[in-house]
Amino acid sequence: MKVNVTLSKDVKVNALYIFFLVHTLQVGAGIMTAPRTIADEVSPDAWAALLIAAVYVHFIAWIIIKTLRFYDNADLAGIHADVFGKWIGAMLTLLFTGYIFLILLSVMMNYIEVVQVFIFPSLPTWLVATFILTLAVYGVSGGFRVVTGIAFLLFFGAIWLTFTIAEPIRLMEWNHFTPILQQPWENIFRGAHKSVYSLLGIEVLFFVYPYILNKDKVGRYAHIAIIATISILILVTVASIGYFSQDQLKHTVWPTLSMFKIIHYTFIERFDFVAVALWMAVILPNITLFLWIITENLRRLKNIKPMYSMIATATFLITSTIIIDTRQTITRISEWASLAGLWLVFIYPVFLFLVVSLSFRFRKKRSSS
Amino acid sequence: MKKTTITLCIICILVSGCADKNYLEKMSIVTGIAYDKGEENLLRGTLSILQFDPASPNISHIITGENDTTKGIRIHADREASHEIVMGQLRVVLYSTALAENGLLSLTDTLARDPNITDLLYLTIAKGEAGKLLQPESTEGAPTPGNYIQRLIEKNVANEQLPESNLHKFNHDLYDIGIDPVLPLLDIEEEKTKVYSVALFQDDRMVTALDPDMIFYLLLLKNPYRKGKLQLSLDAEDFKDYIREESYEENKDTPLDIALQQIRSSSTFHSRKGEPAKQTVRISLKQRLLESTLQLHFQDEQLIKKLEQAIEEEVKEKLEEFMEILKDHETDPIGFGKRYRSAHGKNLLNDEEWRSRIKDLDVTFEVNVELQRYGIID
Repeated sequence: MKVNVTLSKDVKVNALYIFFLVHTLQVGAGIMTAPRTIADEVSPDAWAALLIAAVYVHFIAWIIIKTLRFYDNADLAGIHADVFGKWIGAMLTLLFTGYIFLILLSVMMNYIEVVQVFIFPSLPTWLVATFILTLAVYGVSGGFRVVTGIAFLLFFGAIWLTFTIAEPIRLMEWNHFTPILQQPWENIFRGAHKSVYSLLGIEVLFFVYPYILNKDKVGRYAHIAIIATISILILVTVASIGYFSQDQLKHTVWPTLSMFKIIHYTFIERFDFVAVALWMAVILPNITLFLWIITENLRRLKNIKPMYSMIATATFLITSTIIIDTRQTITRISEWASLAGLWLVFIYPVFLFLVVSLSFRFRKKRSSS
Repeated sequence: MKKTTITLCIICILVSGCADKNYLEKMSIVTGIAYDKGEENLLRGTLSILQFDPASPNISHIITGENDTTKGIRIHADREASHEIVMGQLRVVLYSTALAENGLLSLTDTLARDPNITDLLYLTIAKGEAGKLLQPESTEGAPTPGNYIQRLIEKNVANEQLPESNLHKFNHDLYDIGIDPVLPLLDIEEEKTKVYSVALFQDDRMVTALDPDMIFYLLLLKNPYRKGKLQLSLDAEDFKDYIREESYEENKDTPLDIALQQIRSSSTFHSRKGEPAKQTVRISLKQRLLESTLQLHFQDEQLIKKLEQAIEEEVKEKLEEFMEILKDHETDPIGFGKRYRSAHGKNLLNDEEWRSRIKDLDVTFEVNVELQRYGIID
């Protein structure tokens, strides 16, 4: 397997799109539940926990880009093959692919559950999954540029939802936050740890890096994307903590969506229904991008045609949704995905960086001597 | 490829016709529900229903059902209606005092759980039997009694005559530590549903109905006023030097009643760490006087000062009276405990601890009144 990916110029995209890819991937199903999971640990000081998480995510993004810069045009599969050899490298790449599959499943199941709870209680899970995946397969079959286009377009389709949060913010009670920073530090760190699931997504850099034209600007747009995600997450979390009382928040499964329940306009009375339907625009870039990453990894490993691996993955996903149908299993899958994400996305890149930089130093020494 | 795309598009359009249809004419839209205690621990529900039937002049209907759960009542109601009963437009839920005194949590929980039900729904308590309140003679042009009660409460909340009492607010205060929820108390009089007062709660159990005159003081401590109204009785004897002679001679024994409007208020709460029950509240009131039963010489600056002082004292006295009610019933709708926690630390006080200390509450009020205007004549 070649370490560097050779791509013609017309399948590559500008580094600007890194912003949309990273941001849409980070904002997904996690943000629906994030305020609750974070507030459970560190209610009045959740913003501090999120700031700590933000710093760490920026650090990881920096590490990932640093690692990629050792090569001309490599992706994760190439780096793995280069430093760990053919077999171990392929195993690690497969592990990553498995994790992407898990998180794709968890994002999709979480969204379908919301649709079933809020809008269509009688709609079977596999049917919604088929709808979503048909759309995703159609998108991914267009190649990487179409996937990027979906992320770009749907970013604008969903970002305006942020402004509707003004109404719950108006009803916030600021004394839920005072006195500030009285939580013990371990709670704040536990809160930062809990926000991981909603911040996953920077791993996409590992896979899209070869497809970027002007690689010197990748870092800039990746960091801007992280800032945007963190800002939205802080906004939503702080609004939920102010809007709900502490114990009320503990009883609310999807605080972000529940906040939409208070919004009503003269022309649309129940905005929460609109929000749940529109959440598709948040979920779809996630699904297409994850699906693309899976097919891309398989193509790199075994040269499997994207169309085959895509259909196989989609079928496998639909089958999984038929087997998994209770709240508990979905929660467990989300927990697994979250845990895998913590290790693979927030700890492993540091290790990979050390291995890659050591191996390069070693090679340099050998070639100079 | 083009052919497939076109085929797919056509299929999409055709298939969307298979979605569930909901005809407005075939639905019974519930706008209000009243719950009463039925026989043998059962729950009796009265549903105020809106039916769009072009053939019938009567669009408002009432259905009653009896069962052990609220959802059971719905099933029961389904047997009485040929139309599909839908809850999406539910605007107001009434509970009888007897139910509220036993705790509302089991009844409000299902409302919060159901995604079809809006958080903007009003929860209210009926003074007597709740079902009767949904059957008034006049609804002032509202399509159903449910809509009428919604408008009634909405207006009174907007005019700062009632505390905000939607489902979200109730659940918020119920689950918050150091504050108890309040709900409006409705009554029916001469076949017309009206606001009677405010019900005070201990967690989810109603403990007492507040004297209607005391609502002003409850709201004064709860929220800042923007355009409040108040009517006060002062001792006419104190103002005899300022009252125009002919007016004084005529009404010698009546008190001086004044009406204040456009009240803007602000209040700050102070407490010391370790003493949650001892608090100081500083209140400032700015308003204009619009009515007085006796003719006063408003040009006189001395009079304005004296009036301000008299109002200050009266307000303070009433506030202390209000605090006695809270202490007697061990309820804290103002959130003294919550304010203490937010000033000194969230883990200093828990719910039970605060409940046991409410009766020791010792609140000092410092009231500052400013009369800004007194109408367009002197």
